[in-house]
Amino acid sequence: MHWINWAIVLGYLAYISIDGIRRAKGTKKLEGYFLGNRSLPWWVVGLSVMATQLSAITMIGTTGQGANDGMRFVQFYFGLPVALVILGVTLVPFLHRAKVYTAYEFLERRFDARTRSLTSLLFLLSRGLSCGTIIAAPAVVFSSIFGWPVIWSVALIGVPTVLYTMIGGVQAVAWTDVKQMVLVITAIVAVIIVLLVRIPVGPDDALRIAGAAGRLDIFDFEFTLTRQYTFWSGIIGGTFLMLSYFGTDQSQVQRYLTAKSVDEARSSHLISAYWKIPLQALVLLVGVLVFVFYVFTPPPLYYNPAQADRMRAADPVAYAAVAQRYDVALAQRAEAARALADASHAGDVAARQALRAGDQAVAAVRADAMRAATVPGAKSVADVNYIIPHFVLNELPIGLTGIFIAAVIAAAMSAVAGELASLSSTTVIDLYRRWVRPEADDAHFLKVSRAATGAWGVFACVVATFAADLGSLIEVVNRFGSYFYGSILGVFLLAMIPRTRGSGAFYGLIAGMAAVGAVNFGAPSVAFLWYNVIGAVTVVSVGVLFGRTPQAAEA
Amino acid sequence: MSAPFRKVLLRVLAAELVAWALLFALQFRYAG
Repeated sequence: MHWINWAIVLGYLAYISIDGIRRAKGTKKLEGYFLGNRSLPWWVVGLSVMATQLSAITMIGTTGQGANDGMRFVQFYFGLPVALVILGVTLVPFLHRAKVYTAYEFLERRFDARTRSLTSLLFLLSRGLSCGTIIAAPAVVFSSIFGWPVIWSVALIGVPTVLYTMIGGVQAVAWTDVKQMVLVITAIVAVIIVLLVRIPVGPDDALRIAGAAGRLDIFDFEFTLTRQYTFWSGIIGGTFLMLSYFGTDQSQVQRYLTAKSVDEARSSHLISAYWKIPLQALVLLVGVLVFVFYVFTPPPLYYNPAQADRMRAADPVAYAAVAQRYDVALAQRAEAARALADASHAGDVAARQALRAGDQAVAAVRADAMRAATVPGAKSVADVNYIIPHFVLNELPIGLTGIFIAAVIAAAMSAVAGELASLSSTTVIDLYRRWVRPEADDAHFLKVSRAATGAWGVFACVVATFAADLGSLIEVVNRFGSYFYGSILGVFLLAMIPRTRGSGAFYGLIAGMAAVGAVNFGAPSVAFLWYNVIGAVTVVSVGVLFGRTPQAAEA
Repeated sequence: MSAPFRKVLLRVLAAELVAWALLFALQFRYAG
């Protein structure tokens, strides 16, 4: 990479670290450290909420998904706006007025200590490991494209993030998130402009090519439990998932607890309600346009350069044969695309079919190449995650490459910082202060909180460094995480129903997780978005049944 | 349902409908 690009990346890292660390001035007390003295403006909280969700996986994986599979993934977010409005009148005022530090603290006030401890432990287990994977995804990609050890990439992202989060607390997280969000949006818009300039046909023809190749098949109205992204799974399952994520996940709850008032907390959510779908559509559109760009500019057989080198060295003859088939398929697809661009809108049916056939031929050769590259048990990251990095490093002008790489790092940092702050607050407030040293003073808790943030940061970096080796373990934990996401939402819903009690919440939570586990093993084809509905409904049902026992009625 | 909430809900739903309409128009025009 050109030195100017490196200068931009390093300059950005230095700036964001210094900016974050200087926020330590406002964090003399625990409330300042974890909740920014409940004084942040709504727009800072709102942008911070968006930045925490938008990780490097979005910048690399989602754009790659747009190039490979098109824009259907946007349906995943269809339930988000409604979920945020529902939360604005239910959990947000509940939690904000309760003056709690964590979402789980509220559960002890409403139910009992064991429900609080179980939910906070489940959160720590799942988020602790997922924090590592958030760093690992871009770190593995950077290592492969720059040819350096994974630990360097982990350090590049992890060290500044842990430092400013540990020292500056949630104020540092929120204010750096704002800058990171601006950088990310700037990079996305700039890349779209470059793509529109570089693609040799006009925007209208580019979209016709994308549409003919199936990249603009956005809506899928078929009601099925087995397909991952449909309109209905997005609207129903997505609403439950977003209610759970924004309403009960400490990484999000902590954000709106920093707002000055309930109204400001609600307003902060409206930024996501209005802008999340357009932003996600824009991210996917980058991928779609990169696909069109590579219709006219021959792409490599493997976007991952390390993979390409490995395959070339392992069997040069076989590699050359597949590469030749690939070149022929690419040439036919490009020819079909040019024919479609030249055809009139009304008479383009045959040209569209030819392009679709050409794209399927390219996909078939790539599938063969990917199968050949799959070594059982070997470390690998899906090739789709290298599409955008390959484009950025080879096609963007000097300067913009640096900005995009900095934006990927920024996205990873903002997501990780939010997670670290929430892991630290849950560890200290829900476990340490509750069970170990309830009588200690504020200064002691502040010291412990900084240590907890640092410890979780080190843990995340270690997980990230060995993420490829821990692949199956992380997958198990992620799967386990999906068991209780909807169930935790069920516990909070139960908290708002009169007459329900602690035992109902506790056993409901266990029943909810068991129900999702049973569906997972009994009917593995059910798409994961439905797990949230199953979990939440089971918890509420079991909890309400317990609430109607004679003891509960007496209570 | 309180009046301010109804107002916010309607605005958000309207924004979502606009987003869906734009995405649907994109699919309808280009994906056939």
